[in-house]
Amino acid sequence: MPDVTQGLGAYEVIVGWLSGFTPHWLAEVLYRVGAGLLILTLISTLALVLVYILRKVMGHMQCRLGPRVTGPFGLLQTAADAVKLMQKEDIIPTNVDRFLFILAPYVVFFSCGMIFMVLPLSPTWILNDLEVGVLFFVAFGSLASFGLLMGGFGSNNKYSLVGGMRSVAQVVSYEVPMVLAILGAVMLAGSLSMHQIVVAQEGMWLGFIPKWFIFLQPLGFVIYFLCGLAETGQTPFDLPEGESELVAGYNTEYSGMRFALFFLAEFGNLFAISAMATTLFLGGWHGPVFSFLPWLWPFVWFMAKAMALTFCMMWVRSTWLRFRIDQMMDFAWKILVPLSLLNIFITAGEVAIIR
Amino acid sequence: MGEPTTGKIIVFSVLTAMVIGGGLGVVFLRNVFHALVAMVVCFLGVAGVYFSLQADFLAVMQVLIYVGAVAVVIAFAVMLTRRGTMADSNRFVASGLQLAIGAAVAAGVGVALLRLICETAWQASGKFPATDVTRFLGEALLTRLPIPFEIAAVLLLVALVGAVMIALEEVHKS
Amino acid sequence: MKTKDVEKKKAALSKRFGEAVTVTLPKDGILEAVVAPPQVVEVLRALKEDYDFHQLHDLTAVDYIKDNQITVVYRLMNLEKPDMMVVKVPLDRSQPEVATATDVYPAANWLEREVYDYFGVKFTGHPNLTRIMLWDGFEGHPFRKDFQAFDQAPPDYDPFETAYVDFSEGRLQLTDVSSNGNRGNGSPRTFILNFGPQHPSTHGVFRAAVELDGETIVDLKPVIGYLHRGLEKIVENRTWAQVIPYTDRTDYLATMNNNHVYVLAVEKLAGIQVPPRAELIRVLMAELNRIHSHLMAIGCLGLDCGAITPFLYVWREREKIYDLFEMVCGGRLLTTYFRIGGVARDLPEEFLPCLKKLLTEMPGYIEQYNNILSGNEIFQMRLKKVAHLTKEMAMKYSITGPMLRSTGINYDVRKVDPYSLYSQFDFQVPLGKNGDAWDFYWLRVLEMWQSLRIVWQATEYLEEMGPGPVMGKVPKALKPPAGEAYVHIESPKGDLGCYVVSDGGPNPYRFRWRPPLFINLQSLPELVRGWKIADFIAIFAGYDAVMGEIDR
Repeated sequence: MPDVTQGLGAYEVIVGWLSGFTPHWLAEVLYRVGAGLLILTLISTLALVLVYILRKVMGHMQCRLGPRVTGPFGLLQTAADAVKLMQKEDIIPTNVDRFLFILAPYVVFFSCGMIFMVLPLSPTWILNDLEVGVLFFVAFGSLASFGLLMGGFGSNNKYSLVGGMRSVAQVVSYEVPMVLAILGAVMLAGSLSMHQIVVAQEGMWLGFIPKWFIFLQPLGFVIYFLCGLAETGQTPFDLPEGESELVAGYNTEYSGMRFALFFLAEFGNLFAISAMATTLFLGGWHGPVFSFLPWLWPFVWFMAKAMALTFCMMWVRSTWLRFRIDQMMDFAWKILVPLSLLNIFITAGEVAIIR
Repeated sequence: MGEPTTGKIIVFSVLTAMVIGGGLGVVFLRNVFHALVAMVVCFLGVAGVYFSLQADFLAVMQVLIYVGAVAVVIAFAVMLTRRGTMADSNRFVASGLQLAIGAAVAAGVGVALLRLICETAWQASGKFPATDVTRFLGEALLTRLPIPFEIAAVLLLVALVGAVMIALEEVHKS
Repeated sequence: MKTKDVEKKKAALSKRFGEAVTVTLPKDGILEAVVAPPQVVEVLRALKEDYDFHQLHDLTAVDYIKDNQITVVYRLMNLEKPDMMVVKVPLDRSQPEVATATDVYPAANWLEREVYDYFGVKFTGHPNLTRIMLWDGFEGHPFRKDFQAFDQAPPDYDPFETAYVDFSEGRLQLTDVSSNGNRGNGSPRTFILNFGPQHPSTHGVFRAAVELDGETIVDLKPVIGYLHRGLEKIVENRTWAQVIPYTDRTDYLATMNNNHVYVLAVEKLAGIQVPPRAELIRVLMAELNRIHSHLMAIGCLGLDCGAITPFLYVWREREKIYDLFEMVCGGRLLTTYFRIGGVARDLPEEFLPCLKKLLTEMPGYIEQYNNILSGNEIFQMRLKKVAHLTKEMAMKYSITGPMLRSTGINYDVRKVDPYSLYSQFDFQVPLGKNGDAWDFYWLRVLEMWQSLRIVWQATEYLEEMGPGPVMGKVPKALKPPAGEAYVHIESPKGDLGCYVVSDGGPNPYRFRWRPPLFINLQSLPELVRGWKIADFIAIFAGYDAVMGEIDR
């Protein structure tokens, strides 16, 4: 496994510095722990920012203003909410299965964190450029479904159970078209590594159309976007947390910091799906690089594209409504799977033509 | 590869603890769902071991299939066939004489395996590339090993058709 | 209902039933038959089958303590002609018992339970004669005139031993997930999920114990009475004019309509003339409130299906209507604008221009809702062909309102039995075809268009009419002559009726609210059986339930 050195050559620097006053093995451990903490910080910050953006965006789309009072333009609202959630009483209902109840938010958060490990934020900023980065993403996305099932089952609450069951059915069903849609981009790039996929989208046709995969397989992008919405439980697929039916689905019995963990994981996943779509279809960190701070611009382009897709997801959230469970399953198995298979055939044709 | 660094030793210890602890948890935990979670921990530990052996593809497949699919199916099976309360649903937890006999048998098998592992002259095949494993695997499956691939596909198709038929039966019945 | 027909019917009924039944024709033109208790079911059956009184419009009781009688009043309706008939059954006050009417009219189920709850009348043969509004252990029957209230409270339930829920046969305990009453084919497949009083989508405090097989609903048991305030009894201690704010609090989303039906009933009883300007203002307000109520219904339907944005868009328009109400009477939600004999005060100067501005903008807003909600394929998929309300079922359960019209039955009180000035307005009544949840939704949108037409015409008439008095001649302390009156109007929720009985005193002797939603809601179990949880929420939103009216 390549070491976590794809970064700014940090490994030697930091470990070297640390082994000045600690044993080498401890330095290595601290380095890796630090990397983990970095991911946690990244997710938390992103989630805070995204929650604020969501509330503002949805507010404006609904003819109202969103947070305004805490801090200028309401910028401190999410921080205030985080503080509020942290100081809430930790309520564990009496008859829950304590082991499952307590463990579930951590499993879901863990899977979200693992996903962030392989996101190519910039040519040199990728925590771990695994050869099978794309599959890693899918695999740990499916770990989340187990966490939701644990939460739903362990809550000793029928609403949570129904929510947990629905979420598992949904995640498992929509994994199939998602992987098939991703496969299209992988075929075009010829590699499963996230970094390689972005590198394969370098350049321009005719001087002004970037060689992004979205132009080569728009169908794949649409399918991936919809499946991404379903995997993370966003509208129109927010049945597991169907607010008007199952109070809060698997979330019903959670309050305080545990709820905050679920919430953070949800927003982290939201961003991760957008980031993945950016990597696969929108050219990742490609974009014009200016001479001022040249190492920052790819990151800026990546974030801009991912944020644009996140905005689309929020837009969808305010506009559309949720499916019924059987309509959702129909949609996955009878519509998306055939379409994604069709997409693979089309992509195979394109690959044959290009090569 | 040479001598493993201390860091690698620590990581391997943690992973092995996960695997063995998870396995013991499956056998000894009273609550079936907890046993299932212990099994998931065991799977994740095994995936970690694969990662540390630079078998990325295998590790990812381990997580995707075992944790993402098999564990969930087992959870459903547990929920659908549970008798009585959940807290002591794992009825076959050994204790007393059973435990002693089981431990003795396990120890015997363990000793035999360890001797076998330590005394065999393992040889690396040298055919496996260090990078681009996926391409190698894909080509191998489709050119040199098509029959197992096709049989696996047929097996999955049979399972899928069987599942649909069982579900249809339920729909017709109700 | 022409006098000649009524006379003919009276003669026919007297001939048919002879001694046991006395048929009279009081001055309000509604035939009244006084029947002895043993013959009630027979008479009702004959009226239903031979005389086409298909719908049980209302079932209530009045406690005539001076005559030592509790009179059960059955009000029957023939929707086609239309025709109304009252059957009164005087019962001995010390032991009031009569056979149940549920075999003839299934809609009598909850109504009889209510009468049992309030008066203690035993309906023999009723499938489930338990209290509906008050809790099971309540002592006494509060609507009796000699009821003395005392401090009593429902027993404390241990949260881990939940309350019994009675399905039609046997009692089922709501405990944990593994409780499965071995229903149906004997396999333990079902569990009971409680859409409890506190739930984001139950439109108020309403409890539905739903028996689920996976996600499919096998059976449903509604439990109401969480918002019961005993309005009908409270007003017996208020003067006639003081009752008006209480009528606001029933269906709190359509307050003008509630006021309207009550003041019309009292005016009919007391013979008070209302000046034409007041009538016109009343119609305008009632229709404006219809728009307001339908906006809320549409928004909530969208919200229950998951569309959060249209809910906020309709609030925008509702705020504008609230501003108009505030201009007129100072209240937004609970207006109490109408008075017996007219309205409280005339419209201020800025009202009509403001109203006209709203009317010109409304079509644009309704188009906006259509774009975001009605035209959304997912919304249509969620609602079309979901729930099948047939004409037979609608008649069986005495459903009225947009739900009745969604089956194709053309019954709108404003057209069929016009009250106030509705006969002078030009509007249509939209009809549905399928009786599915989509029709419940779409008819409300279409009715909003028609209400806009009426409001436009009302503003034009108001301008033509010029200023005038808005209050008729009403004595300071109103004491209507002894008697009774029944008036029904088309409220946004259905056929709303008000039955007032006076004994010549300053307080109402009996005030009965015929709540369309309470009677409609009896059809909920049959309508959602076999559909999924999500459909239950969508269908229940189609009822547009407001607990204030159901529980009173």
